[in-house]
Order: sequence, then C-alpha cells, then structure tokens
Amino acid sequence: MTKRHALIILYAVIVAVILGVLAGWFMGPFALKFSWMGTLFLNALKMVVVPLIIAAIISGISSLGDIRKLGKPGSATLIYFMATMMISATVGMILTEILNPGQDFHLTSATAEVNINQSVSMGDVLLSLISPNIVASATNFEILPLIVFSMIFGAALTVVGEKGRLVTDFFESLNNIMMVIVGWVMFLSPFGVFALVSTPIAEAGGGDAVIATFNAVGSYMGTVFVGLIIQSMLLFMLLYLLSGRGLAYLRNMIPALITAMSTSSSSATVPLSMDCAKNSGLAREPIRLVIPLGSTVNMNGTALYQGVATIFLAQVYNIDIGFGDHFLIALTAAMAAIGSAGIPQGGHVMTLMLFSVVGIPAEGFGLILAVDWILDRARTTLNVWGDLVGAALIDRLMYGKNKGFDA
Amino acid sequence: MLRKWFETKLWKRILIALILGVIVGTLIGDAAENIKWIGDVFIKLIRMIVVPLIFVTLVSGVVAMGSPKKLGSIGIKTMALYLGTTAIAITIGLFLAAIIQPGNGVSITGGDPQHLEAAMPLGERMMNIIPSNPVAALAEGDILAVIFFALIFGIGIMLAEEKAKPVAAVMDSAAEVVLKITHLIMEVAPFGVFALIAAVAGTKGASALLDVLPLAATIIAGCLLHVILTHGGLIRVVLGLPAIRFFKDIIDAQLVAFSTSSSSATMPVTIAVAEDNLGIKSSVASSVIPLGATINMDGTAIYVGVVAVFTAQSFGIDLQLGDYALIALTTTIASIGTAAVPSASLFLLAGVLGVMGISADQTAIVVGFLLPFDRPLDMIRTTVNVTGDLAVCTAVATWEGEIDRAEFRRDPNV
Repeated sequence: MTKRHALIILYAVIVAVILGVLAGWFMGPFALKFSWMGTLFLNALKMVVVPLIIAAIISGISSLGDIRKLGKPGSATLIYFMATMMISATVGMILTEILNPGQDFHLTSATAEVNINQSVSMGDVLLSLISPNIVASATNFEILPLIVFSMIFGAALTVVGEKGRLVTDFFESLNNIMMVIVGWVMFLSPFGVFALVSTPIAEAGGGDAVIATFNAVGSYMGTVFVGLIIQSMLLFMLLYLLSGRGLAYLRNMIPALITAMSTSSSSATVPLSMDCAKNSGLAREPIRLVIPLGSTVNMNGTALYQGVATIFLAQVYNIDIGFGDHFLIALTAAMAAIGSAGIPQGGHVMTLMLFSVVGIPAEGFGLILAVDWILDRARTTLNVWGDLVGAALIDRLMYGKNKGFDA
Repeated sequence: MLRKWFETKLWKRILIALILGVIVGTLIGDAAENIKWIGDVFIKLIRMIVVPLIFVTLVSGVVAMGSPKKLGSIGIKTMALYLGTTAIAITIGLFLAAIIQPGNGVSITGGDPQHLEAAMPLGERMMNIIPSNPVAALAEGDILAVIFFALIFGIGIMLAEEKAKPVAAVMDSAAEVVLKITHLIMEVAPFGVFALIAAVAGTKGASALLDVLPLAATIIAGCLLHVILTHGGLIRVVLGLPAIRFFKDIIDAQLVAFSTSSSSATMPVTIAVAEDNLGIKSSVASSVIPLGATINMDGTAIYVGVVAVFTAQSFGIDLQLGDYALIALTTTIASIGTAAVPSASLFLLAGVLGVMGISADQTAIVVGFLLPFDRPLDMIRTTVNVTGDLAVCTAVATWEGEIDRAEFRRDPNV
C-alpha cells in the first residue's frame, strides 16, 4: 500500500465514522439495511487473523536467531503490559472516588438480565494457555493457545537452526502474503466502519433512545469516558518521552484505532494494527510479537473499566472499600485481563470475579450491562492504543537505536 | 491375474464392477446392504482428499496463471459457460416435459408429504462465502469459502512475488502429492463402485424406477439430449475437438459420479481426468472444476425443469410461455445460490415450485412422491453435472490456450 492510499483511507475512515453516527442516529431502521457491510468487513478481517498471527509470531521469533534474545524484550513487554494495566485500573478507581457517580444513583433504573454463572479459577486460566489440539484451537478462533503454540514452535525453529531453514522461509513468506491480503481488506474499511458504527445505534432505537439510556447511567458512563481519555493521554506521554514518537505516530494509527472502536474486538484489529505499525517504520519483532500478544493479554481499557465499575457499584451498594482493597482491585483487574483472554465471554466472567472479591452482588452487573455495548467499543480502542504504544516502546528500547523519530 | 487386473484400463475395471454390481445386487436383494460399507469406505477416502485437494491445487493453479488479469479472464468465461449450459439444460428439460407430458393423469398423492426446512436467504449465503476463519472453513469442508480463501491467498502469493516463493513452492509440491493420492484412491474405485451399485440395486431394485417410468424416461431422455447436443456440440462444433475422444477420456469421472451421486466427492477424479486425460493445464483445471462441482448443475437443472412441468400437469395447472421463461430464469440463478446446500436439487425444486405458485403443502406432496426413487435419478443427474463441468473446463482451457491437444487425443493413460 502506498503512502497516498494510506492517506485516502485515513480520511475515508474518519468520514465513515461521522456518516455512520448520523445514519444510525437519524435514519434508524434504514441504516440497518447496510449492516451486512459491517459483517463482511469483520469476516474479512477475521479471515486473515489466524494465519497471520501464526505466521507473524513464528517468523518473528525465529528471526531472533537465538531464543535467549527473547528474554529482555519479552520481559520488558510483560512488565509494560502489567504496569500500564495496574496504572489504568488505579486511574479508574481514583477518578471514580473523586467524581463519585454512584452517590445519588437510583437502583431501580436500567437493569439488564445477568445470566453468566461461570466461575473461573487460576487453574482454568493456565490450562487455557496450552491447547491439546492446535488445529481445533485455530478452528474455534482461540487466539491465546495459538500464540503460545506459535512461540514454542518458533523457539524450536531457532534451536533446529539451518535444518529448519525451509520452514522458517515458509512462515516468513506466509507472513508477507497475509500482509498483502491485509492491504486489500484495508480498502473495505471505510464501508465496514460505516456499517459497524451505524448498526448498533440504529438497533438501540436511534438517537433518542441512546440519549435516554445515557441519562439513566450517564454519570457512570461519563466517568468511564473521562478515565479512558486520561489513560490514553498518559500512554501518549509515555510514548513521547520514551520513544520520541508523537502525533505523527498517532495519526498513522487512526485506521487501526477506528477499526477497534467499530469492531470492539482487539484480535480482529490485529491485522490493521500490524499494517499501520509497519507504515510507521517499526522493526519487525515488535510488530510481529508485541501486537498479537498485546491484543490478547494487554487490556488497558478493560482494566480501567473494571476499576470504575467496581468503585461505582461499591458506592451504589454502600460498600466500604479500604485503602488496601484498592491495591487488591488493581492487581486483580490486571491479572483478570490476562486471564480473560483464553475464556469465552472472559471479560464478563472476570468482571464478576472482581465484584465478588469486593462483595458486590451479581445483580449489580445488570445495572451497567445496558450500556456495555458502547463502553466496550471505547475500552477496546484504548486496549489497542496500549498495544501500539507498547510496540513503539519496545521498538525504541530494544531495536531502534538509530530511528526513534517518525520519518 | 493380478498383473492382468492392473493392466486393464481403470474405466473398464469400473464398468465391469458396475455391471457386476447390478447383477449381484438384483440377485441377493436386501443382503446387498451388508457390503455397502466397501462403497462407504471408497466415498470416505475420496472425501478425505477433497478439501486439501481443492485448497492446494487451486492456490498453486492461481499462482501458475501468473497474473490476476488471466484469472479474471478465466473467471468470466467460466461463469458465462456454466450459466449458459445450465440455461440450455433447463430449456431442454422444460421442452421435453411439455411434449411428452409425463404428468398427465398421474396421481401423485401416494407418497408421504415431506416438508423441507427453509434454505438460508441468498444474502446470508453470499456472506458465508467469505470465511471469518479459514481454518474453520477447511475443517467444516465449506467448499465455497475454501475456494474464496484459496483464490485470495493465491493472488496474495502472486503479488508478494519473490517474498512468497517458499509458500508457492510448498503449494506446488503439495498439489502434486494430493493428485498422486487421488490416483491411489482410484485404484479402490472398482470395489467401491461395485458395492455402491449392488446396494442400490439390491435395496431399491430396478422396480423402484418402474413406478414413475414416464417421468424418469423424460428425465433420462433430457440428460442424453443435453450431453450429446450441448456438451458434445460445444466440444465438436464450437471448439473443433473430437467429441468421441472427449467422452472416452472422461468416462472414469462419469462412472464415479454415477456410483457416488456426489459431484464434490467425484471432484478429485474429475480434476485428475481433466489434467491427465484431457491434457488441461492445472491452472485451469484446478480453478474451473471445483467451482463447477459446487455451482454448475446441468443434470439437476434438467431434472428440476421436468419435475416442474410434471407437477403442473398432474395438478392441472396450465403453464404459459411466460411461466416457462420464469422457471428457466429462476432455476439458472438459483442453481448458483443453492450451491453449498446438501441435496441441493430438492431446495432448488422447492424454490422453483414456489415461484410457480404451488403451495408448501403441495410441494411437500411432490417431494414425498419423488424421494423413494430419487437415488437412481440423482446418479444420472450427477453424471450430467460432472460431464458439464468437464466440457466447460475443456472450453475454457481451449480458449485460454491452456490445453495440450496431443494429450487430449491420446488414449487415456489412467
């Protein structure tokens, strides 16, 4: 994809968001006629994900040459994920304590059914990392076991060395092919984004209905939004101070961020994130390793959301949260984000688990579920932004000795 | 003895097995059910190879074309021919049924009404062509989705050029491997065909056909006409190739199609026949045939045309010229849409009867009437479908200059 194409798509996607909101807001049912374009775009994105992630990680690791070289960038990546998620949850909690949105909340309004009664143990989380049948995992779109397997496979390739040349070359070239296909999917993005933005608004019943829902839990939603904005600015500062990249990097990432916002799926966004990162001139290792891994385990937005939701509901139910509990919540939220990757509907299960730590009744979850579709989109955007900042940091700290600034 | 067996041409061995199957099946009757498993083993072997075969041969075929332009030109010709031959097939079916009038005075209330579940709407089916997970599409054997992904993947390899060399090499050698496996499986064919045919002849008996002789005769006549006039004509008149040679070359595929009554199960054989006997380059064969196996249904179109008119006649509905045109148009278009649905012909039939204004209950009666002897007719339909795929493939290959005429004229070497 040329620079000019990338620029055209950037503007087209921004226009698509605006048109999508307008169409969903004012035209209602008519906008639903275009929902198939969203499905098409989402399917096309997902079509690329499984082969791309496998090829990217295997070729990324095998190109390190020696698996021991993974140690430093690998641990730096994990530390970055863990630290930013804990900061994120803390930002959410502090903000909620200050704004106090749960103070005058009326319990009766806007509750939705809660029908999740799974419980998850640490053992389940660890078990979900290793798949007994990797093809079955690929079939069922279980990304985390695929990543783990690809890492093991890549590590084995580096040990085999010259004798594995053929396989290394194969995955390197598979990665190139999938990236060519991603370039084509990019051209669908304006249409897909338009439909994905307009459909849920229209389904909710158009603009008036959306406003009505917002009014019910508006203070809570406002808190989440403010938190997300604060955290993305913190990440931006981190990006600017540590990697020397700035607004130009952010601008290059807009197609990926908007796709995250409209699909509310970080794994479906991986192909576009990788493409955008490539256009920004990141080295291959951070692109191929940090972004896929980040998409499943690094969830800044989700951690922040859980922080806000927990404190908000504690305020609603008049539960006292001590100083130590805050730390516990931050840690649990960060761990939960990592753990939820391998579990279906993981986000909800983990949020419930967090509530039970503090002693919030499960019905409380119903309160906030009604507006979850829009918050989900917002927090996915932050999740992806966190991955992209992480990729830039690792690129700068570990690989990019000479190229810190946007070309 | 063993040596002699392997020296005999495969199609002769299959033909002998088929005739033996009919004789043995008729003699031992229901007991033939006991050897059906041999046939099932054969079908399973073929099905085992279908998905990898389509994927790797299509990818390597697309890469071999060298440019997306070539792919587009092949694609347009293929679609035009598939639609064209299907339209001719349904016209033949309608025409014959209108002349022979198999439905006059026939009471079709005898069978148990069979209700069909509604097929997926067209939009959703079209959406499903894009797999949201290619691995899942392969695992579920979703042929159209596999074709779509293989096309995209092949073009991706083409455009990534040097950087994609290793993957292209793997696909090429994998394509060779699966074709070799297909040849191995074909050695089992005579036994499989024998068992399948014996089971049909034994359990259904030739008598099943007698109940509906006029209808069946009309359909068979239509199929013969279509194969000789349309397919033969396309080969002989349009392409200027020897038609007899063509039919001799493809008899393996026809026999397997006849005994398995599944064009997708026959596909490995169809591709092998196209490449080895007809001398068609793999880039054309591997892209045209899998598509044809899912969307090209000449035999089915004839069947639907005849049954539609038959139904109208037995319910005493008067069909006008416009109605015939409508039936032809619906069938041609719907034959693409019903592609991935199992027992597609029934859905196609239900759709067409619906267009004619026949109620769901009446449709159920018709289907119930037809089902008991659907199998022998299905065998004939499938043979015509596969013949159509090969005829179209030959035409496209000839126009693209991707056929080895010497190989076409040589005796089959399988």
